Amino acid sequence: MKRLLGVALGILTAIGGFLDIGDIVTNAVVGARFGMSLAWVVVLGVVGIVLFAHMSGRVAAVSGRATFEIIRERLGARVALANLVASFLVTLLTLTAEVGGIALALQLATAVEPRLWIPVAAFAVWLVVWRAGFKVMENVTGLLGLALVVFAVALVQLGPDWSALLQDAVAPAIPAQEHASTYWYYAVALFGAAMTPYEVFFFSSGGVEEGWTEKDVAQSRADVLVGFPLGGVLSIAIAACAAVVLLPAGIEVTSLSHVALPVVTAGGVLMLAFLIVGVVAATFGAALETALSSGYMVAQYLGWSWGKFRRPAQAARFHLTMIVALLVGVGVLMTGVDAIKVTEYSVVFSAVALPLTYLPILVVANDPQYMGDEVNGRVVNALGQVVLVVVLAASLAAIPLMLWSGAGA
Amino acid sequence: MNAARRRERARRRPAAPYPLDEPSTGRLLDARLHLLDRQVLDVDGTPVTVVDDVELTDPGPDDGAPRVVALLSGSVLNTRLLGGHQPGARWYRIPWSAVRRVGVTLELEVRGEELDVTWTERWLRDHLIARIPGGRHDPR
Amino acid sequence: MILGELLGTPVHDAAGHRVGLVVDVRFLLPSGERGPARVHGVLVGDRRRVPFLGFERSGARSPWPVAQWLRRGNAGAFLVRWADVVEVRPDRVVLARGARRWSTDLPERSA
Repeated sequence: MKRLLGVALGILTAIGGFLDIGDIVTNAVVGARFGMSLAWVVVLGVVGIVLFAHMSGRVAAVSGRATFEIIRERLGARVALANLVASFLVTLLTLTAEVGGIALALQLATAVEPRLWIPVAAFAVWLVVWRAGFKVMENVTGLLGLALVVFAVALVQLGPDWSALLQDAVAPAIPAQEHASTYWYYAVALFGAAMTPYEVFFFSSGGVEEGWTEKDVAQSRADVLVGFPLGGVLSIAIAACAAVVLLPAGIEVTSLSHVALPVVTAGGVLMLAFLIVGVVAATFGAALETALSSGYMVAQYLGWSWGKFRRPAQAARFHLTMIVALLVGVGVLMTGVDAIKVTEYSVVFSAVALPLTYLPILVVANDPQYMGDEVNGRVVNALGQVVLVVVLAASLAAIPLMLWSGAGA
Repeated sequence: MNAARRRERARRRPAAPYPLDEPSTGRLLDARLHLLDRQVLDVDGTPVTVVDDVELTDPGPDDGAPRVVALLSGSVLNTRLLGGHQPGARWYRIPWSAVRRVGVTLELEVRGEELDVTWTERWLRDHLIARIPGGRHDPR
Repeated sequence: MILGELLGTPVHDAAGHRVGLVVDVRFLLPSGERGPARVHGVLVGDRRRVPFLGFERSGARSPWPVAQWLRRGNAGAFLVRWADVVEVRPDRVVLARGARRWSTDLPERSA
């Protein structure tokens, strides 16, 4: 029973980790503009994150090494520094977007201006990072994040033409009113949102935090194999809701209330309440993950003491890094910048930084020095390299597409 | 069919395999592959630093091959990133005699607290982090 | 001497021809792992930066084809034992006349 509960909680964690404000907003934007024609990208992203999150977790379990340690060991001080700067900026941008997302969700619930919620949200994030145990933190946000299931429920209640949605998804076509560059820009954004590097930093460091050994590998596999695909299904449900309600009405998603509109249409206030709980929990969870990841990556690059399993005083520089990251995020948000826009940029830039993170994971997962007999099998290597080719293509195309499409305008 | 092409082909020819009859017993370590950029852990398993560089004895005519004197940390910007000799490089040194084991990480037989390299960690702990309420609270 | 300053230094043979760059330095750690680690030799190759810092020497043969590509790219590299190094200067490392070139592969026993 305890083991079953463990699996269940792990799955919830994966859902919470996958669905952050970036995924929620990007999927709604895409659904409202392109219908289901980009659903295949979510599927690809889920395959990619399942493979590499599990690979990084296995490396952590077998060798005890977290992802940014192996990035520095395999790429050297200079290239790893380039990756650190890029990944840190992306994670900081994502953290900023998540804190803004919490404030926006609370605004939906209370009608209090987000700028008043921002410091409260950031303080709450810090308090959990400072004080709470790792397991408790994971489980509470994961469990509440499950409330995002309302998007799937709402879709059913909306009673859409399922065969048309399916047709749209399996035989994707670029809508007539959209330019091809915009379509591919959003394809890269969705892929970047699914595979943001902080997920593997968090997943592998979490493995070290919880003291994983080889015995935990099977459990971690079960978690990612169920959790990330469930997160993917909810992502597609968000896009489908937007495709059914917003696309025909010609509404473009520019705020969180647009994301909520289909759910309100389908189920009224009760479902809106669930949605707000889900969005707050998912963004809060993602804010915790990004805050911790910012500390993990800097500490691991420089070899500092890190981890929530230590007292804060025994990981002083790690905790200071997270405090500074949160303060910077709050500072950026207080200028009144649009959190939704920050989100969109953060997922595109994360696509640029991806190859330098995923390639070292693949290399170390094949290195007997670290892995002994537990090196990757052929199937995992073949799939991993296919995903890497896609990652590389997305990374090279991201900036040109951004300029060409005018950032999806 | 010039000399350059022939030289190139000679260069590509596999070099002689490693002499296994060497009387030397022990382990071979390649600096970039096994030493540089590796995590250093103290006697309790607490991370101390990363190996930024390695100090060797100067090659002398009498003494044979250079010896590892210390692991260096701190001025990674000076030699490894910018390249070449940078005067005034400031290093924190961890004497090689303090290294207990070389594996995927380097394990020391001393406590990180006692090493100069951790002074920023200790300073921030004493002046900032430990003073925030809950700073010494054990989260487990 | 700082190791980082040695890496990337041009290597010349006894006749003064440039044969490559120091791509890595190999140490011999006495058994039992206590005691002085001494330089065993220098690895000479033709590029300043080795992809994945010598992953192809670690005994890993996968993932195919990345590992094969790394091995090919490094096919010209060789090991010169320290006894065959006659001079170390900031701008060059000079090898002895008739310096023997060994394979860069690490023998299994130390992998």
